[in-house]
Amino acid sequence: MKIIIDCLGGDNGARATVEGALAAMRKFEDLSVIFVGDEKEIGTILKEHDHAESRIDVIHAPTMVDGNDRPMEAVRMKRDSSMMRAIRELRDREDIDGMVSVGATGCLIAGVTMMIPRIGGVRRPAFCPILPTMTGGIVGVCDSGANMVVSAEQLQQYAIMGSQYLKAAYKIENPRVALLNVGKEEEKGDQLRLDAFKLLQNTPDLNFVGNMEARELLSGEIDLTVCDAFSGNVLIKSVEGTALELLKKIKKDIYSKSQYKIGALFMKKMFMEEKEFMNYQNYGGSVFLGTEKTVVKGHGSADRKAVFVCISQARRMIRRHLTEEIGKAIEKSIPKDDE
Amino acid sequence: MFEEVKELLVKQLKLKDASVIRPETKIQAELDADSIDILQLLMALEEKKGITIPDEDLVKFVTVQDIVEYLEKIG
Repeated sequence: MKIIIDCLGGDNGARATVEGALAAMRKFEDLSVIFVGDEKEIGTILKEHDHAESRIDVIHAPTMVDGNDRPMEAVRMKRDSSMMRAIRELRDREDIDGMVSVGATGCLIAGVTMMIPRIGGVRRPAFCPILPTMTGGIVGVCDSGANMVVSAEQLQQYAIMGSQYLKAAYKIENPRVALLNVGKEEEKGDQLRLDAFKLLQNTPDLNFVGNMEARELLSGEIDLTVCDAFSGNVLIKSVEGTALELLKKIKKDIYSKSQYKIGALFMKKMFMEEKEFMNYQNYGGSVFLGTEKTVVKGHGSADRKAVFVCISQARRMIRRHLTEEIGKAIEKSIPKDDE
Repeated sequence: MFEEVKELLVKQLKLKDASVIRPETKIQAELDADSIDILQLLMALEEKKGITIPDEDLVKFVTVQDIVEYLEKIG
C-alpha cells in the first residue's frame, strides 16, 4: 500500500508529517510513502531517523498552498504546490492508494473535488470530520465543508457514504444516522429537510433514527449527523468554541480561590484525562467520501502523533475497500428506470 | 482537436459508447454531465494543453463543438 503525503501547509511544518509517517511505517510493514515538499528539508529530517529507504520516495514541490489562497485559484495557479502536485499524483498513478494532507482545508477540498474522479453515481463528494462523544464513542458530521448548497438526494448520499465509512473505519456495525434539524419532530425544518427526511426514511440498509437537534451531537446517541456544509461547519466550530471557552472559564475559576485550587489538585489526574479525551488529534482527520481514491485531511496544527493517526485511518479505509463499499451502497440506492 | 476533446470526455464521464459524442452534442443535457464534470474536463484540457481558461469563459461551453472552437481559437 502506498500513501502520498503533502508535507507542507501545517503549523508544524514538514517535520510533523515526515516523523508521523515514519512512525506509521514502523508500525505497518506493508506501507510505503511518497513525501511531497521541499526535498532538501525532507532529506534532512530523514537522515535523523532510521528508515526503510526502499519504501520511501520524495517528490520535490517546495511551494506551499496556505489559508490566504483562494481555493480555485490555488488549484489552477499553484499547480506545482506540494498539495496540488500530491493530488495529481494520486489521480494519475494507480500504485498510489491514498493521500494525507494537513494543509489549507478549502484548497484541499477544491483540489480533490476538481481532480479526483467521483465514485460512480456520487453527485458530490462530502467532507466528514469525527468528534468524540461524551459516552466515549465518536460521531461523524457529513458534510462539513464540501457543498454549501445541497439537494435532498445529496443528503441521502451523505448518509449512505458516512454509514459505510463508520462501518469500515470504526467498526460500527449499524451506524445511527440522524438529520440535523431545528427540532426532532418529523414535520420540522425547511422543504429541503422535509424532503431529505422522507428519502432517508425510505433508504434501504440505513439505520435512520430521525431528526436531531445540534445540542444532541455529543450525546452518544447518534453516530452520524447528516447536513449541508454550512450547517455542519457552523455546528463543529460552535462545539469546539464552547468546549474551549468552558475549559478556559473552569481554569480561571479554579485559580480564583484557594479552596478551589486545593480541590483541583485532587482532581488533577481527572483533568488531564479529560484533556486527553477531548484532544481531537486522537480521533483522526476529516475524510473525503465519494472520491475514487482515499484522502484524509489532518488538522493544521497536527503534530507527529496526529499525522500517524491520520495515516492509520487512511490505511484502514483502503484495507477495508471503503470506496468499493460506497460504490455498491450508492448504486443500490439509485432508483432503477423500471421502478 | 475534436477527437482529443472526445477522448477526454469519454474518459471523464466514463462513457461506454464513444459514438454518442458528436460536435453538436450538448455536454450537460445529453451526456448527463454536471457542473463538476465540466470543470474537471476543462481542468484536464488546461493541463494537457498548458493553457489557462479564464473563469468568464468557462460558462460558455454548451456543446462539444463550443470547446473545440475555443481551443482552436486560442491555438
